[in-house]
Amino acid sequence: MAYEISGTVGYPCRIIVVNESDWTIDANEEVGSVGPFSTSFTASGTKTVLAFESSSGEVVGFGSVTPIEVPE
Amino acid sequence: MAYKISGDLDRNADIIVIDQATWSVELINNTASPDEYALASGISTGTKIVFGRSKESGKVLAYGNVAPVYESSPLSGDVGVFGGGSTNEGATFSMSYINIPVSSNSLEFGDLSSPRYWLGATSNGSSNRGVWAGGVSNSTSSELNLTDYVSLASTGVASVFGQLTEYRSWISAMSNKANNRGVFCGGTHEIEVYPNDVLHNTIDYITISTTGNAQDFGDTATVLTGFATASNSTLNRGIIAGGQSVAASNTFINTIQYVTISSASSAQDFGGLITAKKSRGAVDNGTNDRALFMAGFAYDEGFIYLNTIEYITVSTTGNSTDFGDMAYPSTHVQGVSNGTGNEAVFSLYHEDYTWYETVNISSTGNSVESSYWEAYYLTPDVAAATANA
Repeated sequence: MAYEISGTVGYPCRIIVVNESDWTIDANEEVGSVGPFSTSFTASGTKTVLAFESSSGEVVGFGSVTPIEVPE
Repeated sequence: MAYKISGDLDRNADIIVIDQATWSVELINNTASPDEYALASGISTGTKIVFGRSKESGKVLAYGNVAPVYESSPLSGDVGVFGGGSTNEGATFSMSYINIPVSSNSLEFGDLSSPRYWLGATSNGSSNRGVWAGGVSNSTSSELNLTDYVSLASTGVASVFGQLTEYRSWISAMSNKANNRGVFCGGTHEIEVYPNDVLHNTIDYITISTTGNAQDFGDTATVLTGFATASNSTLNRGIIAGGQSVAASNTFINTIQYVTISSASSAQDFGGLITAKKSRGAVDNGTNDRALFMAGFAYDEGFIYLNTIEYITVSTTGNSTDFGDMAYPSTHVQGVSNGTGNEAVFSLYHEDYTWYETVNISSTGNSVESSYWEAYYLTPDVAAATANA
């Protein structure tokens, strides 16, 4: 199975997806441009999703995010 | 390393720390409740993302670029601190300390501001400031002129002091202790790679209790690297003994030189060591006026690894005298002492371990092998050590 989380970013940032069952990192990627993004991974379950802007250190986070299942 | 992140919580939460250098989860705390919290175990240096996730609502509050603080512990009594050097992974930040007389394996002290080896160290004694200077880093593969300082009264991380007048490694340092002048002598500057190294006759100095760049003091009699230094503390005489005097060679000298630390000038002839050798191992007993020079290596159609200890009376001039022997020959040796307490501890590299040997400076005789060892893998020839006495 593959899973995906998507959204829109208002500034270039790093998206980090953390698996809330064991707190491992499922996805970690730079989103270099403003607009829609999506990131995929293979572990199911709820996630904490962080958007980290490196120069300011600002982090926006959401917990209990359920990824959608996508075709592999 | 003893780094800590702390804060306040207003609800039950999971707190997760992500290291921004490796992008790996460094710490998970599943038990935080509404109160102050402190995360110490497993936190490394470098910036972090720290987030708390409410156990009830799933709400996340997160911060990036969080720099953990170093958790300092006070030290008591006489201590010797070793900084820098190399491990199997290359140059290291690490600093460790021992009590003098040595009573345990080395303990964690903190970090230098950058990883490096072949650096020099000195202190202003009981005024409790230690200074580490020069050396070579992995990342540049060339010499540094950076000088760091720490308080020897507590464990901690180093702050930048200033710069030496020249980039160089294999330097040795000494001071007039409470009089606050630190002196850095000679050294090597490799242009590109060995054997294109250039040896220096530079002596520069700092005022240890301040910060700032080093200033010119004078010159050693010849260009020089890989030598030993000692002093008689507030009596103001500094000693420079032995070393390599020709670049890319095995030309070692037995020359002993001296300077008056309180007065900037070039080195004067003192006398000769029994053996011409390259070694950075020396200790002194401060105003009691004796300096010991340990081990190292000589050359006679091949390297000769030495276990000898020689001594001089610092305030006089003349040749050194046999003191005794170390338990093992070692090219890699550094020493610290508690000054007028007369207790010296040598750190020497032998058969893949770094052991301590001890000797009473005011006597003569062989050094005694200790049951303790360096726990942080700092090889003593390429690290640098100083003490708070």
